[in-house]
Amino acid sequence: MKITCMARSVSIAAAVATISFSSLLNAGVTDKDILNDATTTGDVVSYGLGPQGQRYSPLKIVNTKNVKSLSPIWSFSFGGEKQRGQESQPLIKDGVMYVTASYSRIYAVDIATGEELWQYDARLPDGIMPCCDVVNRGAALYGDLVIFGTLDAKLVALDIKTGKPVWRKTVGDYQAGYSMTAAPLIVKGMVITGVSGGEFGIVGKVEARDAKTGEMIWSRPTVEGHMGYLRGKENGITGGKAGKTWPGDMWKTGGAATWLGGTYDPEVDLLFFGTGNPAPWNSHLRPGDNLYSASRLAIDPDTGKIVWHFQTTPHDGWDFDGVNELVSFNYKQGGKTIQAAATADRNGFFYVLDRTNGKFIRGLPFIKQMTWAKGLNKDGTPIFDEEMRPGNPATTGTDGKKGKSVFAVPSFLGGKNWMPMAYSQDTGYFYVPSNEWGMDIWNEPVSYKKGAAYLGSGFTIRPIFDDHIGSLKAIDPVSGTVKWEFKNNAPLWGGVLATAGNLVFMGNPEGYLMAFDAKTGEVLYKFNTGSGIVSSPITWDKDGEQYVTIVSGWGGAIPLWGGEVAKRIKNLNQGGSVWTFKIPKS
Amino acid sequence: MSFIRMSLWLHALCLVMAFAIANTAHARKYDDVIKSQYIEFAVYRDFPPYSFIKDGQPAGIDVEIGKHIASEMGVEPRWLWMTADETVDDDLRNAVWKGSVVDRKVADVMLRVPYDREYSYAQDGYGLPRNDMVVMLAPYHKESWKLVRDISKTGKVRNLAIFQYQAIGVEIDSLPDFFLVGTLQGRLRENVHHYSTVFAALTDLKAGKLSAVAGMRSQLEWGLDNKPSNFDIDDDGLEALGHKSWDIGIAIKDSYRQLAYAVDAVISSMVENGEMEKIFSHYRVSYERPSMYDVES
Repeated sequence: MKITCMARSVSIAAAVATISFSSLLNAGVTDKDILNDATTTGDVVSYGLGPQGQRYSPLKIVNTKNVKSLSPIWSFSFGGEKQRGQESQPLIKDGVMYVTASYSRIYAVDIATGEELWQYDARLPDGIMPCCDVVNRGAALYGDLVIFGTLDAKLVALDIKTGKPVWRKTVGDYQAGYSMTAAPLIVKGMVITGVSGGEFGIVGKVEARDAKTGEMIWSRPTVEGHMGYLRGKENGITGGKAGKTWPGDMWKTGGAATWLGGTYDPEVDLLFFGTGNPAPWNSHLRPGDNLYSASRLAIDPDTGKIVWHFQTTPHDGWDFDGVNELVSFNYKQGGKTIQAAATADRNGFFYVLDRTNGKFIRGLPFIKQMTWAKGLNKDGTPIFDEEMRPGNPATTGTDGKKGKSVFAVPSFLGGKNWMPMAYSQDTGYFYVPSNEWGMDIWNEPVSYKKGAAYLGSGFTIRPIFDDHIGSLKAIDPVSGTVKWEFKNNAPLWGGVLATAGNLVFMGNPEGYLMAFDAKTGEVLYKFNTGSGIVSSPITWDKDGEQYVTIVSGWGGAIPLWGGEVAKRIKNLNQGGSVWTFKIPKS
Repeated sequence: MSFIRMSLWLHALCLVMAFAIANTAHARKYDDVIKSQYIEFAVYRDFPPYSFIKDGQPAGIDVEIGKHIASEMGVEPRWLWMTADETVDDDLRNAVWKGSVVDRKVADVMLRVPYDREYSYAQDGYGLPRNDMVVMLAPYHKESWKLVRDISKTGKVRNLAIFQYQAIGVEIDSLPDFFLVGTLQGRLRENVHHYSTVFAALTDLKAGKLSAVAGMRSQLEWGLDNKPSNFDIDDDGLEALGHKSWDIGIAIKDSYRQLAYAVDAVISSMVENGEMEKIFSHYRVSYERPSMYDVES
């Protein structure tokens, strides 16, 4: 309560006094705060609880012994008529929670009471076409600013105290299909973002701007052949030159959207961004590896140059985006510390890489009954099963008949989608929210696009098992084995949090916030939040008590798909609220 | 204030707001359209020669057709400008029966919808109808893929082999794009140039940077108004293209069939009495009647 009162008085002071006076009272979030976020338990100032994205908290006030007493202390409603998917991870600083919501909204909430301090609704233009629901995954804090991306591909920085815009920058042209849903990353005073985009005509990029002003510092396109820029000057063509791994002029519109943002590791001083699938969808039209689609890129934060890349799905034909987060971690082997990083890809493989150079260390399939690949080669490239590559519409389906259908596992929604995994420094396991599903995919000759005959592709997503699609797995990245699994009827679509209390927290579409024993996977606690959970939990402490917060609100990409998956989610209701929990004082 | 009164008051407020905000709309039945004295058409944004803004005013073939339908029904036309989604299935959902995820607005009638029995009754992978929330009817045009060549470059070669050596432009993610990149075991691939619109390709054709452009007939003709004599439009070389021409009609929400039939009646008389052809010729685009009329004549 004391902190809250101070925050309020600062806000009044700021309105009447000079900036220097307010900054004296509240220096705002610094680079150091962000780098230390994983160990400073009183706040959460970055997406991923630290730029490495481990989503691990050293807090153990709440632990396996007392978690059953966890109780909600307040719930905050986003209100309005706008609900749909709430995928946001909240941030906490100086007694205030900053939480984004669907339709590019953001709220500041008093963490003691759940009372709203301010709300900002981005004004969205007519005719925007967000591909996969109207979600937002979170904001970034820097200085006295809270920064978030909007569905019309703008980056907006608001005054942390008033919610009034300080600067606003266009990241992409929404009319060309660009959008923005990921949480920005702050590194060395720069706000670093990717961009979302539709399938065609766009090229992914990673950009760094001055976090205080929004001025561009560097831009790095993610498709071979495009020029990068540093402080307005040419800074080398991505991949050296055009046409090395793309036919014709297809590199110009090659896709590889960086729609999920990235992580940063200060030890090796590299940014890690993933890239989406290549365009067009029909892989037969673009022979070659199509770099750097479906890849993880390590980028020098000072220059915007690509230092290394690791392509999870070369020549992708299944829509296996390579955007999933690359999480840095160290482990000891033979007396040596290995600077590693791990990622659980849409394609169903879990990869452990050397994060200094991108070399493959080991990998394993983390979903069952994979069909598209038979395994991984020694260098981490997939051993394709060419029978399982969707057919070529130039040779099938042009006679008006449905082309050959293949059943690919996992489905294009992925063994794991956007929802971030967690890494426990205690158990050494990664906790991976995954889904066991496949897709029938075929060329669809009876199709039209914008008033014209077209050759689309048809998909149906099918569960693999009768009793579950969702599967939270504890994966030991050193032995390359799955240690435990929790099966969930509906597909999982929310992030994970691990704590030193030997706990793993996760929400499910059925609406439960759940806590698991990190070593065994036993469910120790669950509470229903009234709508489906597709967001990432956080934890922090204040005055000797530990708090857990999660956003509830069913939506995201899953409800957009019908059929057998829809049966498992048809009774889930939309919502939009923030729930905060603690152990009540006895 | 009782709950019911408050909810009535809220409804009244919503209605006031609905009228206050221009372009707010939801699909309606025939009686409501007539009573309101307007009809709202969904047309594609920035899609010449069919629907676009010229000098700040709605223009284009589909816009003229909409105006004519409205005038025959004694109501004012209004426009819902659609951003094209990935397929027409999505456009039907956005424009006619559900509304886009952002603003949930729909129109009474969507124009430039394929009229294709196979498409109307198409099923998804589970065997369920794909577009059962709309009725597609009233064909008014037959569109086709064509190829415009600069014969000063291609000479007498009328097949596609020449594009192993010369450049051809397409709009990205169109059927001719997939066809030309994939055909002849991919041998044309290096020479297929991709553009965001067919008009950008035609600009390069006129500038001598391309030997040919493949696209929809109406767009090629409109984009090459006053075409030089060395430009020639036909379908030589596109013989193997799966879907060379298709009919275009309208879509209306399935539950508003009375409105559908009223609009259908206006459209068929426009096709019969030459009004339709007049609109196309005003835009200097060839008019081809939909196949339904071939059968009847």
